[in-house]
Amino acid sequence: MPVLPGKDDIQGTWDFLAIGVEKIMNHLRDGIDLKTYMSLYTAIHNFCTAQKAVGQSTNLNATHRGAHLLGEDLYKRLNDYLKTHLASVHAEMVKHSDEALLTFYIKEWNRYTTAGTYNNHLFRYLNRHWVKREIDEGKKDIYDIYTLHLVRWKEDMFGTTQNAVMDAVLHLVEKQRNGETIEQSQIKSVVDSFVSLGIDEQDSTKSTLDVYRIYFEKPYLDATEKYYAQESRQFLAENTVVEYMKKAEQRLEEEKERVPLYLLNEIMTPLMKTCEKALITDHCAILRDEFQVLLDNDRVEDMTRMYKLLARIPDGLDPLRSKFEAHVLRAGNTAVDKVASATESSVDPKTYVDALLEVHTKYSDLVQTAFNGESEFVRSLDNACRNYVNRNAICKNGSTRSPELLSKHADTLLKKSTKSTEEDDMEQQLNQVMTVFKYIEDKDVFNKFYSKTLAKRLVQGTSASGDAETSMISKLKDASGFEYTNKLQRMFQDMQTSKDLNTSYDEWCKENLEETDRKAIIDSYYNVLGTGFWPLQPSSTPFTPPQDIARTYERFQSYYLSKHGGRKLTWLWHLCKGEIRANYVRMNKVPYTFQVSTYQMAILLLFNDSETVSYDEIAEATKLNKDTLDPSVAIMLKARVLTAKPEGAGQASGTTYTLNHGFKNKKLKVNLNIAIKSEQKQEVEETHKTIEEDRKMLMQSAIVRIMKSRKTMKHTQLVAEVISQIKNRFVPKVPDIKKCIDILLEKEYLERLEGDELGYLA
Amino acid sequence: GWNVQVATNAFFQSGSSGGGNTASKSTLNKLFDKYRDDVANEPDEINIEGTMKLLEDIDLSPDDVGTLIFSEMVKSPTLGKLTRTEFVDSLAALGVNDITKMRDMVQQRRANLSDPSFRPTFKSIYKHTFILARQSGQKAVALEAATEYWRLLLTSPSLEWSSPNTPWLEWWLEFLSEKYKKSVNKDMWDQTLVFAEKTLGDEQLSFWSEDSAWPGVIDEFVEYVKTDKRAGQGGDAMEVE
Repeated sequence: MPVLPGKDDIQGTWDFLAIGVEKIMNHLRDGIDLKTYMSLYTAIHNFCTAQKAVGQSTNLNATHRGAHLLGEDLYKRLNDYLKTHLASVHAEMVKHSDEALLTFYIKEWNRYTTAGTYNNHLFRYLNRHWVKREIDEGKKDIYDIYTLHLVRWKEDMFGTTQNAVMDAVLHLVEKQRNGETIEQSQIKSVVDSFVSLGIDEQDSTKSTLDVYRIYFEKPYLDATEKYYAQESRQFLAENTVVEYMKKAEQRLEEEKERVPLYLLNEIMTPLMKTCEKALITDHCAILRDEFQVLLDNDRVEDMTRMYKLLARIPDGLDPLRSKFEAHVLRAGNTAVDKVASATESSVDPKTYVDALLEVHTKYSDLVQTAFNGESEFVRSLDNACRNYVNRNAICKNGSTRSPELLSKHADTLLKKSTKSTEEDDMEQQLNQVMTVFKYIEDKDVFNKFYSKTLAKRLVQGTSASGDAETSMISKLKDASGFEYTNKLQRMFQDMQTSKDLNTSYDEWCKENLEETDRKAIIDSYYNVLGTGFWPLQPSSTPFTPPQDIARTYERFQSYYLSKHGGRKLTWLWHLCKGEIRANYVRMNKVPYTFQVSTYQMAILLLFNDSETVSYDEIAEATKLNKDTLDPSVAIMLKARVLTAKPEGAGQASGTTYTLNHGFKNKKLKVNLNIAIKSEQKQEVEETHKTIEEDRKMLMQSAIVRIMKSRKTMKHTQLVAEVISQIKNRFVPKVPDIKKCIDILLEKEYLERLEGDELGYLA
Repeated sequence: GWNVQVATNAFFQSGSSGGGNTASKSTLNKLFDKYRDDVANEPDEINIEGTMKLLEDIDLSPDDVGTLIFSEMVKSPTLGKLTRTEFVDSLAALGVNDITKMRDMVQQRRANLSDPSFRPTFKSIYKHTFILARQSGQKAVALEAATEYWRLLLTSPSLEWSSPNTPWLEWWLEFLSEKYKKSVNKDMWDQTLVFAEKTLGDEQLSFWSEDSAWPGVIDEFVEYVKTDKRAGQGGDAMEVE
């Protein structure tokens, strides 16, 4: 161990230090004892604190700067030493290539940086004073001792070797991509090394990723793109698209997993982008072309894969969505075409609705499973469904067919039938009705038919379940608002009010009528229905009710009017019905009961006075018109309750009818109150007719409402506003709106102002 | 505060014209009296006979567009009827107080009918014609009557509704009689003139769009022109441009 040099002897000091530094650099493994270390440290300290060595300078600041000048000498010599050291390492390094080069590079790098940490410690006095002061004064190219090591490596080693090192790294990665096992830690060491070399020029205590980005990341990404461009091209040439998608999916997964193994997490985003470009974007046309094939063959799993792949690239899914929409539309139309061609004249509502639903359900499921329930796909599905629900082979004469059939289907569901529907099942079926309802454009038409059938179910007591009815109405309310279901709800209220009314009427009768009187009146039940809420038409025929009925209803009428003065009761005879006991024909001593319309009742009661009644007598007594009278009689003839004379005669003047005492039937209760087909058809036509009128009113009132609040408005704006206000009822046509505006101009609700403006006239 | 300028102008104007008015008004009242049909029961009206005589005196026949010009001048409330207040006030305001001046003014206006600078007065005559043409108690004019008046008002020497390649009025009346067949309300009457003016400046109808504020009947007419009248003429139309 040499003696400590004089504190102002630079050459002596450096020579003394050089031995230690050399030892740290090249023989660290042999160890360094504390005493040696301390003496090295002391030598630096002594040198730096020497007050001498100012001789050369006459500068006034000389004394002050002395220590620093001395520090600079040491710093320079260490710098020179590192240069020399690296030159020799470099000479060795270039002899290696590939993996051997990596091994050598990493070994040298580790040795060098370890030494750097030791040296940094050894020179910390220099770091703390001279280096710090230099840096504080803004001097460039002065670093703390460890950083100085890195700077030297970067300049004397890195610049000339990084190319070869990266080639070796990329070669290794390629090997791994090709399925070979590689020494991953080597790459990780290289990454760490490149990262360490990112010295912030502004502040050497910080590091940047610049070096890593330029010399590692960029070549890495370039190589990746090249690799997958090559691989995907070749793979696609030899395999199906479906196979390719699996491959691409697997490759993307692998690349993602590779990152935490030996790469920096920062590379994830650009790496994925690079892979996506090479694996997906560059082949998206061929992928999309395959989509139709997958759709046609219900390849859900492959579509899921395609969705996931294309979802990764910008705008990757748009073409899929439009293809999907077109496909669903085709499927919907095909399904309806089948229904249309299978049924010649009358379409079965259930078959039709099922066909609409089947397509929707299938593709709604597909959206959920394959397309992640993504809202844009849902929108495409909705567009397609709205399209085929409202415009298809069955609706070719107008979109009002769909709502009509849907409401008929709902009626069938909600009506009592032989096969009872489980509650859950009912709920599910009603939800399905709502699924189609959502797509119906002419919601007003649905409402119209629905309220008609609801009215019938309520009045005729044919509703299967009150709960189901309520449930359906609340669904409609949720979908289309209070106003939409207001009348429907009022109909229910009327039924309840009527029930209470009948109870109190019965009580009143008990209290106020003589026993004999009470016996004489017919057992009866009344529904009092508000004209404004019920879609019921007055009878189309005149009618004189038989005495018995007249007495009964007149008594009720006077009771009702005494409670509600100022109201007017209109009797809807065509909706009334009753039971009549045929005491003249019995089965096992029990008389048959006929369920009849009021008209039939009036006819049959005539036979109480005479065994034989002529057609003309019936017509005279009941005052029924021919259109009503004939079918009413016909049903009783068909059921053989009556027999005609001459035999086989139908309903015509001159025919006489006799009660059939030999009447026989399997059931004790015989239903003779059968709705007449032609009447139903006529009703549908009338309903369609009223829809046009209602729409005109709806558009006009929307226009007036809007203009009332806005006072003046541009014509186009008004039209747009009207459409937006009523499109949830039906989709109005612009020419129709304009016609309504014309009408309102004529009626002087509106006036024409300058520049396409319209004004409201109060 | 007061706008002295306006106030003074108003004073002088009313003052000066007021004096003249009184003088000519009494002349006009006397003139009006001369043509009355039923002095006892309708002292302030000239009815059909008087009107015909008056028209004759100023050299007008009822099927002359001049009759419409005159009716607008005297604010006739309906065809064949003149009322005192409107007659006297309107003519006084125009500075007309004898038969000759009436005749001259009608002639002068007739000569100006197609002059663009005369358009405001023409519009006034056109609009007044609707009032004139209405049957009492009716809001609309029967199509036949409207057709006659359009012929008077929209052909030379009045505003000629036709352009180099399009006999607009002919097509319009043809469309109305073949397809429309309803009566003509005020909005339709007024908008027809607006539309006519537009077509004269733009024969290709590029000003029209389905979304603009035209009455439905005009939209239908445009459709009729485009499909029925100009079908297959596309090439010619393009060459014209």
